[in-house]
Parts: sequence; structure tokens; C-alpha cells
Amino acid sequence: MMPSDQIVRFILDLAPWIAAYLVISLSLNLEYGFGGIPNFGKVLCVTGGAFLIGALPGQLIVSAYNLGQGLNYFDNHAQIMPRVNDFLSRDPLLSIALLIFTLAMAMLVGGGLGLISSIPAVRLREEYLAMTLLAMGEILILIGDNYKNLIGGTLGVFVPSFLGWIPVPTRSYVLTAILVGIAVLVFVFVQLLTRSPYGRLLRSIRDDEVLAQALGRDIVSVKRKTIILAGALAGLAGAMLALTTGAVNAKNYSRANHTFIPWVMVLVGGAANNWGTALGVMVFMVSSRLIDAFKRELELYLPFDVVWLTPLLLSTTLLIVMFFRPGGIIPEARTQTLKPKELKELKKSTQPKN
Amino acid sequence: MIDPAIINTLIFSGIASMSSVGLTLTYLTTRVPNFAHGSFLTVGAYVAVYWAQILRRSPYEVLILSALLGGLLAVAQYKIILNPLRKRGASSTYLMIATLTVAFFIFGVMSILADYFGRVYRVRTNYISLRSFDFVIASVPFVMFLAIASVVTSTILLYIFLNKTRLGVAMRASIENPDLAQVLGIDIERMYLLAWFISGSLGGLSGLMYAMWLPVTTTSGDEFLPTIFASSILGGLSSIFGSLAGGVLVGAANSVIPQIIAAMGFTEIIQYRPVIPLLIMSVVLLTIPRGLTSLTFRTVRPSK
Repeated sequence: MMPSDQIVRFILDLAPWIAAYLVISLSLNLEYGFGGIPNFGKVLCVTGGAFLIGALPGQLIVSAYNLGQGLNYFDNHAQIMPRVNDFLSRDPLLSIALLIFTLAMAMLVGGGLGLISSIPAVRLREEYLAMTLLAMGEILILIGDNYKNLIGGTLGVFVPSFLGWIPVPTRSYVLTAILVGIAVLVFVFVQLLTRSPYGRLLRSIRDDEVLAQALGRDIVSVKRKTIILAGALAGLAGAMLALTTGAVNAKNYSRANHTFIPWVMVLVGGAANNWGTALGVMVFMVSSRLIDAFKRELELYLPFDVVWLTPLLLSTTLLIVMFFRPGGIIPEARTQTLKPKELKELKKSTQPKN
Repeated sequence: MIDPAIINTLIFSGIASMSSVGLTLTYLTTRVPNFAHGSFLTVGAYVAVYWAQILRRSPYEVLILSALLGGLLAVAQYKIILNPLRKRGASSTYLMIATLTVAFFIFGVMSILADYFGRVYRVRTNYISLRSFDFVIASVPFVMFLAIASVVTSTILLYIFLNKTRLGVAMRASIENPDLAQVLGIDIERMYLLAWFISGSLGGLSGLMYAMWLPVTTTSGDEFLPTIFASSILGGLSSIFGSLAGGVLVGAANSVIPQIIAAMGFTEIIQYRPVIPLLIMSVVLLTIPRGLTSLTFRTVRPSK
């Protein structure tokens, strides 16, 4: 195999993960970086989106076109799934429509979970908010793992193949392109949003809640909207993760992987700076893949499983950044104010002409 | 003959109560909930697990060691991470993230150690409970007596310490009004260190009790964290004796509520037990956000 082939494969393997984590981290950046909301339960909305894509589209197709013929979707999963995939592969239009519908529903579920998690906490101080959101985080994983009729309990479910109508070698390229496309769209959206008046309002609340309140802003409503919006994005990211792996299992979702790692990415890259967040995501995804690639070599020298090096590495890096570069690698950009001359001209041009 | 459900409730309440007192104590000093508090439990539990599994001896021999290690870990966390960050003017959110980071660091270290000891000594170090190492008095496991004794003793000792000793009064002063305490010549840094040490050692002790009754993994403490939070919030988050009571109540709810629902015919509900602390937390925050102690205070004397 040529080295360029390997590089292409490395990138293709990595790109969907980078895309999904970029969306999670951007949603966290919106909450924490711009809004100052310490969401320690990021994993909740991510699992919401992932569980939806595991539960809804497959069962929808089975019941709408009567593919089940008396078989239970979860008990006879191995028999039903090929039928669903076969059916979808013969109908590209339906597949695409179903994919779009599913992604929209994943966002809806994420937003709904965001709303629920904000109810007891949003009026309270940061500490309470953080504690409640952290406790909320793992609830859905627990239910998914124990309740069979959501995503098949401990066995998990497969995600229907939405791109079955595309021949095999190009299929994964198309999937990667779709996921990267979504991530780019989300990036542009968050970038525009944080530069809009809403973004300014969010930062003003983060910097001084009392001042924003004194100026007549409803901070509870703004915080709640932000948690809902970020939840919707996290739900989308959860669906993207499930599309990447092709299956949903409650055990694959955790506080470590879907709350802590996005936090590391945001803080190391640079909070309140979307480019910084993107950089953080890149750095961590590439380095964790490199650790994976050299796993076997490392394992010869270490008397324990190499995966445990990741939490050590991540937490040490984050602590170093927190101590020596509190703003992250690319800190928040300073707000550009107008020069006195420009201000004068602006005043002149907006003054009513009498 | 005591009903096993009651034994379970008492042990669970004891663990919750002991660990949430520690959380409240550190919250009072730094005004930041310590998200690494569960890690003290994990460390305390694993000291007992290694002692029992590798040396095949009673885990109660390392009772003091567990508490000591938890305490030293807490002191290290305060001294190395939190205090320097605080002096640099870090916001409370930033400090919370720092504690979360410490939790993941300890999780990494504990996982490596569990893997290492498991491989070197060929013993089971994950999903292990030390129930078989416990001794039974009148068909009751000793850990139940330990749980009750530690709640009662620490309530009495903390009361005497905080109200009757100079050191305890100095600590309360440092918590309530650091500036004034400093003016009076109290070294508040030392008081805070002492508070963190007590907190960590209570965490380590609860970890040992946890290992004597429930299966331990390297994430046990982190999974227990919502219960600790619920107990402290129920107690008002700023009241030491409130969180002692909160722990007892949360522990009781944790075992009584599933039993009531199971008795109604929904036996599957037992699996969802971890939802209960969250429900308690939500209900408390929605109805009495300042916890149990705010209730009694309002009735005893009118608010200012």
C-alpha cells in the first residue's frame, strides 16, 4: 500500500469523529465560552440524539412497510436489520428523506432534553447548575442500558444504513462528506450566531449578570434558550456519532468521553473562540488516534492497558493550560471597538438631517 | 433478625452521610463543589480492596490508612490545584472544571493501578465487593455497625470540635468571615487545609465502607457523586449538620422508594435506582432551594 493511500485512509477514518466532536464542542463553547453556563452534563443531549437514531428510523420503516411480520424489532434484531437495509437500499429518495427527518428529530430530542435539564437549575447559581446538569447527564445512559425497548438494552441496536443505495467504496466517502458538511454548516451557524446581537447579549450575561438584568434583559430566558439550542446541536452530534459507528449501545456513552473530552477540547483550544475550539478538537482527535496507532508498541513496555493513559494525558494537559494559558491556545478575541474618527463619522451619518 | 432492606438502608445512609459532610465542608471553604469528591471514595475503597485481595487480610486493618490517604489527597488537591488557581483569580466555574479534571486524573491513576495489581498479583480488582471479608455479628454485617457508629461519632465530634474547641471556632470564623478571622490572627490557610483533610478522610472512610458492601470499580466514586450532591443539596449545601441529615434521608429514600414501587408490582424499577438522587435534587431545588436547614431556621427565628 502506498503511504498516500494510508494518509487518505487515516483522514477518512478520523474525519467523521472530528466532525461529530466539533459539533459537541461548538455547542459547549456556545454554552460555556459565550454564555458562561457550566454544562457538566453534555453527555445527556448527545445520548439523546444517538438513542433517537438507534430507536426511531428503523422501527418507523418496519412498522410503515410491515417488514416485521410478527418479529420483535429488538428480540429479532439480526433478522430484521438486513430487511430494513435492503428495503432502504432500493429507495434512495426515501432513505434521504428519512435521514433528514431523523437528524431533525435528533435535534428536537436534544433540545427537549436541554429544556428538561434546565428546569430545576437555570435560576440557580453556577454551582447548583453544574451539579444538577452533571447528575442529569447519566440518566439516559442508565435507561438505555436497562430498558430493552429503547435501544435494545445491553445488546444495543444497529443504525439503519441510509446510504445503502450507493455502491460500497464510495458509500463511506459520501457519509464522511455529509458529516463534514454538517459540521461546517454548524461552525458557520455558531460563528454567525455568536457575532449577532444574541451573541453579544450572551457574553454580557457571562461577564456581568446583574448589569444585563439592570439593562432589562431576561437572563433566565436567555440561558434557557442557550441550553436548548446547545442541546439541539449536541443531539445532532450524537446522531453523527451513531452514523459513524453504525450502531448504538448505551455503554459507549459516558461522562468521560462525551462531557469531559469536549470540555478539554474547548478549554485547551480556547473558550469563546470557535476557531480555538476547532483547533482543540483537531489536536485531540489526531493525538488520540496516534496513541491508538502505536498502542501495540506501547503495550510491550507498559504493565497496564494503554487506554488509561488517555485520561492522564488529557487531565494533565488541561491543568497545564489552565495554569499557564488560561485563555487556551487561541484566546477569546478582543471586542473590536470603533476608532474615534469612525465613531464621529458614524454619528454624523446617523444624525437626523434638519 | 434484622430485615436485609433495613441493613442496606443503614449502610447506604451512612456512606452517603459521611461523604456529603466532607463535600459540604470543602464547599464552605472554597465556595466550589468538589467534583473530585467521589475520587476520595474510590481511593479509600481501593486501599481496602488491595489489602484484602493481595494480602488476604481484613480490610478493617487499613481503616485509618484509607482515611489518611483520602485526607492527604484532598489536601494535595487544595494545595496544588485549587489554591494556586484561586490566587490567580480564577472564576468559580473555572475552579469547578479544575476539580472535574482532578477527578479524571485520579480515575486514570486508579485504573492503571487496578490493571497493574490485577496483572501482577493475579487477583480480581474490578467489580469486586469485600462482603466475604466482613464478619457477621448476630447475622448483621459489621459494616452496618461501622456506618452507624461513624455517623453518630462524627456528628458528636464535629459538634464538639466546631462549638467547643478553639480550633473549631477558629475554623468556623475562617469560613464565615475570612477577613475578620485574619484580622484576629487566625491562619485561615491552615484552617482550610484542615477542613480539606477532614473532608478527604471522611471520603476515604466512606470508600472503605462502600467496598465492604457494594461492588467497587474505578468509577464507583464518580457514580456515587450524584448521591453525595443530592445529600448536600438537601442539607442546604452550606450546613454541616444539614448534610449529615441529608445523607441519611437520601440513603433511606434510595432503598425505600424502590421497595414501595416494587411492592406495587413494578419490579423492574430496581434497576433505575440511580435516578432517585437526581429526583431528590430536582424536587429540593424546585421547592426548597436552600435545603432542609433553611426550613428550620425560618420557623425558629424570623428571617432578617
